[in-house]
Amino acid sequence: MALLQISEPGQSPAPHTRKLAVGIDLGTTNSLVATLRSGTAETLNDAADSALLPSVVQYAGDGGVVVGDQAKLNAAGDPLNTISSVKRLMGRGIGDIKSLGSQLPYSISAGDNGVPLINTCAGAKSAVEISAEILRVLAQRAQAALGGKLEGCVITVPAYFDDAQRQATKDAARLADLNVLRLLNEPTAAAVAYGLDRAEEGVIAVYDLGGGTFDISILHLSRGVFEVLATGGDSALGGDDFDHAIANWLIQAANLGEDLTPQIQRQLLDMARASKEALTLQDSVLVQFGNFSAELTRAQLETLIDPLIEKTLHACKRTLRDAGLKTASIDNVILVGGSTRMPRVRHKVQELFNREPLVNIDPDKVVALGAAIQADILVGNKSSDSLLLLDVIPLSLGLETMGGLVEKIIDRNTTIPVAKAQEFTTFKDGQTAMALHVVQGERDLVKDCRSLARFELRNIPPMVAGAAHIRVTFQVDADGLLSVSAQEESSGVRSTIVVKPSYGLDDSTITNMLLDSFANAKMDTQERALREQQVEAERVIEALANALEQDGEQLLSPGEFAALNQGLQQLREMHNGTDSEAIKLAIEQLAALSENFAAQRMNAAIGKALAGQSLSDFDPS
Amino acid sequence: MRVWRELSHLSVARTRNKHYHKGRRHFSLGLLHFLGMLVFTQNYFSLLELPEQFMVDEAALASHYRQLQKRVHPDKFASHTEQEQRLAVQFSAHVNQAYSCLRSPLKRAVYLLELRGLKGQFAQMTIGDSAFLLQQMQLREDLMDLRAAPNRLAALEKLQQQAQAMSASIQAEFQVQFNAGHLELAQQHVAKLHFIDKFLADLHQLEDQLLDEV
Repeated sequence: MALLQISEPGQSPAPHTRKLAVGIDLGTTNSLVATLRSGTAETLNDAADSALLPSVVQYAGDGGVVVGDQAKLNAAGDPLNTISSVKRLMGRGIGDIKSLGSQLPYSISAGDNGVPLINTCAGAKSAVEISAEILRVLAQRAQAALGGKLEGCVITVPAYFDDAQRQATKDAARLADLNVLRLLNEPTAAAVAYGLDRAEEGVIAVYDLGGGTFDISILHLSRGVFEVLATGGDSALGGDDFDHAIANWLIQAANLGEDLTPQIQRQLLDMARASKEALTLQDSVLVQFGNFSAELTRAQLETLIDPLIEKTLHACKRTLRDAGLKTASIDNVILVGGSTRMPRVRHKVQELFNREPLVNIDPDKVVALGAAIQADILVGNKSSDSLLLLDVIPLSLGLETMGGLVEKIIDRNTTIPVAKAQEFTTFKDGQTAMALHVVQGERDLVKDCRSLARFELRNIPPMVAGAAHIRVTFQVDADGLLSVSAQEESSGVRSTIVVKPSYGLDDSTITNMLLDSFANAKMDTQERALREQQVEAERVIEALANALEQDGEQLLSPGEFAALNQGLQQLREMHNGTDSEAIKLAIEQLAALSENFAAQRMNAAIGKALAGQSLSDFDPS
Repeated sequence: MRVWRELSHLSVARTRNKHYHKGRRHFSLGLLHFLGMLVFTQNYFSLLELPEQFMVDEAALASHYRQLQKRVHPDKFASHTEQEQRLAVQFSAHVNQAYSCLRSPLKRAVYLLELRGLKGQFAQMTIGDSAFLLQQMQLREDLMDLRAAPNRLAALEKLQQQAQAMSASIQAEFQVQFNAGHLELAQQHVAKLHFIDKFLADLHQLEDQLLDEV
């Protein structure tokens, strides 16, 4: 009989156990979670073995929250408290919502910073909070299936999401207590799901038409490197719009007039969606509403939705042109998103690219599966040599200059991460402050672009007009998120920055929400803060210990090596203590102590890459 | 969007800043001083392992770029410490900048002149070649007439090809002058390339508008 192995107390029996990481597709209509098991990406399903969690959240009168199928069933009966397609509101301002008009059957009011809030029986809720409810359910599902706490996740976003929409998605994850390893563009995720099996070389187009968003990405694949050449789309165009087109037809045909209650609007939309889905397999469908009854044929449907499909094809042509390619250069076309099940969409895409699209992976699941593959690599379970994703920013970033004009700093389709700097100067003698307005979009006028934030530089030393050199640096990280910094160059004086996001939640609002949600969870906030610091400390300890083990002795002097080990030991000893502030301080101190080491390690990594012969050995392909 | 409050580690784009040469001991002044010496001072050509010349083997450039990104991309450091992640973003951004510079003939030409110590505002330079200027005026007129042309997109494509052909021949002239060490003359060709580049950008914008109207 084999002896049972018991490890010494305090020592981990298996230091390199597999870390739990998932890919999450936070969709307009449905959301999914997937993970890698035995080398294969698979979705994690609910008790009824369904992968799709409808992205519907119902706030019940008793303070409870219902998410998914049950909420979807309840929607028609309780339209004001049941929110669907909340993704369309992510990162949007109240003005944007007004332009979506009567399409939203909710009661909406304006919150701080122009954030739209949906009034429910549980209070006014932002899109970020509502999305966090969906993420929580997916996280619970994953943790139950995998039997442990998630180390991290990759969340997908439409490639065409702007900075505010990406930031909102990340905020929702933070609210749901998820560690986001990366925001990944949905078309890129789909390409990963397809590409790894086949080890493709060539150029592929990913046509992704979901419930509320449309993306087109053109990628070049080469030995595991997925390089996005160009991306385009419309972050407010999707299957929902098809439903609205059908519902409007129904309203006119049945002469229902304009003043419809939210209940009736919801019913009409549900009916529209059912008819649309039925027409995927049938040539016609009988539509009944009250005393009205009519037949909707596939040909009629096509007349209703063709203008919308044309918009997507137009974006495809433009993106191809941005990539500098003709349709003949495309080797493969991948279809993603539930709306690509519609025969008309498939037909039109095939016509445009003159090639039969790939559909062998379920278009509803493919994005989550790709995200799971990336999550597994990022969390460190798998050697990252096999795969590299080089993505781009979808929309140009710029600053407002005199006369309401936009000065572009970073052009669309620039590969990320990217950092670019631009110098500005003062307009008046003795000017000590400067207001900067950051915008995103392709148009020349500020009013036609999307406002991201305004900030002020203060404490510029007084000089004559034109003498100051204010260097503003835009940096976009691998999540596609922008950070801006500024400095007066000639004097070296750092200017103070005051930021006011144009939409979205500022840090203090998020913090308050976190506190509120913890209060709801009946967890002491102090205890919460402590646990967060402990988890962070564990993360730092593990990362640094691994780094020291790998390179410590080679890269550091014996003195530095000993000092770092000592710092590490100190953090180990205190990280299980009860003083969260002390742990935080110790983490910061250790971080400062290890800066040099981090730099050396990075340099060693680059050094290997620069060594020469390794690069020249590769085929120029 | 988040704005960095810490301003010491920001200017990744300052690749050839003189401060980077001031010794390794000043870590407190920011890691870039250290890293600047190691990588940011690398000339783009040596960073991407190409000979320092105007002609570039595009396939080798793309391949070396991908290999380098495989090393430095932030995804490779996702489970590392925060500092390493932050540095990876800066490294990777720098490699992207080098790639985008060497990939574009105009940026590459400007960069080569800069490496030779010429940091003029080439775009604002006076061009002495009157035949070239007349040619440019003709191109601009053709652009104005384009809106009234019967098949506008086809006319636009023709104009595009015409401008690209001009660009190619100016590049060839640049290469000759640059290789011969006639930097003053080479500068003139860079100024011309700026002209054509601007023209092509305007064509691109017009094409956007025309496509929207269709």
